[in-house]
Amino acid sequence: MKLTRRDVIKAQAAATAATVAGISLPASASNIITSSKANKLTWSKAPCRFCGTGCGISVATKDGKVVATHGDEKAPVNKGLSCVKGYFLSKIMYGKDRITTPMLRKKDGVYNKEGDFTPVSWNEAFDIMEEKFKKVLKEKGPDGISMFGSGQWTVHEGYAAVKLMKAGFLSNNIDPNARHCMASAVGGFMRTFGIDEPMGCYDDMEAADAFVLWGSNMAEMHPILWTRIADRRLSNPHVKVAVLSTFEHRSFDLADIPAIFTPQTDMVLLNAIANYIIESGSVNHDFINKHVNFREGVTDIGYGLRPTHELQKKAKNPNSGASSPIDLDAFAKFVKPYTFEYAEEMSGVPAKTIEKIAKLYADPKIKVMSLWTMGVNQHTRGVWTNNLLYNIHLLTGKISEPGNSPFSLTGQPSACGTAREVGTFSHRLPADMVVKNPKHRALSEKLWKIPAGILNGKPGSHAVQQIRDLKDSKINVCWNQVNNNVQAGANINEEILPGYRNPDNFIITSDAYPTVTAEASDLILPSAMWVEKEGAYGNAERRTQTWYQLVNAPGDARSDLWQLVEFSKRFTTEEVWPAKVLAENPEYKGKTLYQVLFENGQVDKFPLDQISPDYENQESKDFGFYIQKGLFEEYASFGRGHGHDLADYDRYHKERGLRWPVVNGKETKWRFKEGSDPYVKEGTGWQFYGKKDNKAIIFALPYEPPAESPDEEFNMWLSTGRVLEHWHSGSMTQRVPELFKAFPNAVCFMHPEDAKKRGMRRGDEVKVISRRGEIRTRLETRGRNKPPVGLVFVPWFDASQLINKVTLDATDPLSKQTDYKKCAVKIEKV
Amino acid sequence: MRTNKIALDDVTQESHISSFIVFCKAEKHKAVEAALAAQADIEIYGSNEKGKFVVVTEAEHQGIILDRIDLISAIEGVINTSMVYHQVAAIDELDDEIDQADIDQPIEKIYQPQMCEAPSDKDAASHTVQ
Repeated sequence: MKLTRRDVIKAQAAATAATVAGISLPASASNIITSSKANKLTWSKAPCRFCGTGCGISVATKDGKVVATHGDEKAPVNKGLSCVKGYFLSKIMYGKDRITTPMLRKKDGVYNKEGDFTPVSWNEAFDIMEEKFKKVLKEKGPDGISMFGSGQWTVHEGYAAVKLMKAGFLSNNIDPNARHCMASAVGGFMRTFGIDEPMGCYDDMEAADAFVLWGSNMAEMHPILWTRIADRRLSNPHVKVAVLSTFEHRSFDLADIPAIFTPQTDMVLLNAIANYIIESGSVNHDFINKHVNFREGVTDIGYGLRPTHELQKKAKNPNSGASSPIDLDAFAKFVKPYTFEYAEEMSGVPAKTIEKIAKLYADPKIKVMSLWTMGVNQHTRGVWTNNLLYNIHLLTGKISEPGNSPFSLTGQPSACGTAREVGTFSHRLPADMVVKNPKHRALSEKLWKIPAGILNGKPGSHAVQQIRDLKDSKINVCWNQVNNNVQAGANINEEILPGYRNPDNFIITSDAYPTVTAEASDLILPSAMWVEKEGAYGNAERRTQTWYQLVNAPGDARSDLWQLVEFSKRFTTEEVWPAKVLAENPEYKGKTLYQVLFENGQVDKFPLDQISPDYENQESKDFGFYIQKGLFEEYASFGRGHGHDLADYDRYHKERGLRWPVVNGKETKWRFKEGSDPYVKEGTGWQFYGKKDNKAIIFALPYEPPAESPDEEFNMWLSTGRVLEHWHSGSMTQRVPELFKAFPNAVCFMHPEDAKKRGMRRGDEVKVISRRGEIRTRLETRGRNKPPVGLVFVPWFDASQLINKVTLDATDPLSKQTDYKKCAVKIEKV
Repeated sequence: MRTNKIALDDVTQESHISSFIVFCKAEKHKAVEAALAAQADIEIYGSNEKGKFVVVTEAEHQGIILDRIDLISAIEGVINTSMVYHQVAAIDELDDEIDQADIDQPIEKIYQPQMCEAPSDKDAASHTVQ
């Protein structure tokens, strides 16, 4: 029998799928034999580059290119499956417009803000950056510079960035785009539990009897996890799925209990469920007596707008997260007005439906998993709503056990691992520590081996504040890495573009592709992406995963890690640290930031021969030491012994991820519960050890209205989000042509009745207009998203239709996360 | 400002080979098998009575593969189509004949020694497959 290379590849594709499916191929297929040269591929593991699920992918390289991928059948997260985004991972690095050299705006051979992008060397790029950084640092000090990073930074990159900004430049003006997606979740965790990230894990999906989706559209956004839930539901007829959202989407296909609610009234529904739990006698008194405190939060806290905004001036307690102790009786009294009838009136969800959902929580025999993402987080009361979700799990003691799990999902591959755990937020330090706390600063100074007392104790500008500060010329240099803020940030016309094009400012953007953000900048730095560098991500279930550099980046593209560390060589301590500190600590004099931050005996501790001989490692070879290992081990020293324990770096290369805390070599599936969490003492049952008294907090918090609701003129709700085929702002997935084809342009989804009322038809060109701006798009009255009367939905990946010109930059006053899910608009025919 | 100008501009001298798993209701197995067999460009490599099929397809553009997945998903009785494997290869290489001298083992056997089964002394994250 003659065999071709095609036969061999097909046999391999079939064999892989057969393994995942658990079926054996007939002899005719499996007996295909092959040669050592026929399809010689080197396979390695990597976590998927896209969402926060953290699927394991097998990646094959040939002749220096990624040529094949498949779901890793031994990865516990996805068990060999892949979603449409992960399926074509081999294409994301090979888009035609990949940036391969630094590009600077120039006119007549010199930098000019109004000039055209011109290829320059790394040396010239760093020269102009150095000049701009030094000028601003001299004139304004550390508050004049900023960095805007990402939940797509690798752990190493985020750590190097936070160290360079906070320990090097002494500036806390560093924030990740995760501010736009996870900040309210973080706020909720810190307020209720005193420690960040979910207590449960994906294993809950095979143990729960009921699933309640609060605003989340997992069928499209977390398809692999949705497959796990669908398997559970379809093979166990007693399992129930409740889907709550402000519009009907694909997840409703599996819903036993569907519910459409008026925006913002999720808070009413949650309080109504708490009320039902109390009134029906379903409170787990033993649990709350031992493990819970009650507190009442202050109200009327504003909308995180500029202090000059009318709504902000009206608020009684703007931005306050204060609270005072109460007891169960007072809490019961507080939620008493939230009857099912009142909840129906406010939310539009029938009382009977609310009761069905409430019973899933109240019945002690039902193990219930709550799941949520942006619907709850991108919310002007996002932190509160997270708190209210924990309330109903705490009242019933349904937490930290297989199947009983309030689970905050994430959108980005390392929103947890990098943005949150490393602490790249403007107020944070690694391992849940904060800059405001002098003890945390002292510990960080010690671990970083920098002079005592040098760290800046004032929280820096968060994401939205950075944008406002750029417009107001308070910040004059901003470095973006792995984000697309001009597309993703809210209120582009009034806030973002004026800041970018402000003549006082110099904007640097590191990216692999020419995004709108890159093109609105003054200097573009070409970045290496995904398996073009060694890295680590942390997913939504606390799983840390690493990968090796599998291929080289094209042209002069370099990883963000290399960019950050290399740039630190341009500064001496005398240029950036106070003279007084140097006088008291003369051993730091005359050194570069590179020397004090990275050649500090820790980061440079591991020699090159510890790198696997089978893989490239561009940065390490350039710097002369195994930098990823050094950074990881120094970073891990912040969390070991404090509930954030990570394993030794080398172990991660051999595992398909481990869920922290990793103590005595063992990962932790359920935190806070005796028997599954090594930090919980014997005989206690549960310990919420993020709080000093080991008790979690149930918060009494009311419904408060959104910043803007429909009125006579702007008579529709606008909600924004993404669709399966595009991930976030689409700068990568839109390079994969068939993903682009699958959903070529954003559309405005509207209920047919609303269209009829306006004399509009499907396919009409329309304007979506708010008080801030407008976009043109096409009307869609059918299709996958079915909004109720009074609401339109516009996906936000399309750079030609920037919906965030229309959205309002109202934020949660506590988390500073923008509410992209609701503002008032009108729709007009063009 | 930039707009989305990505089009189907990278149809190159490449071919895409993909596999997926088709799930159907067990009682529909025969009907789905017949419907799959009737589709051009789809090869069934294996199946079991519980309603699972291993299917392989090849196309010059991976967008075509997505279209085929849609067609399969539309077959009466199909519950789900899961993507598993995707490889890009140069078209002109695919018809190369394999040298008989190199032929030695069934591919499944070679494919079995997967990546990091457990922490082992040899770097476990990688292996070579032929």
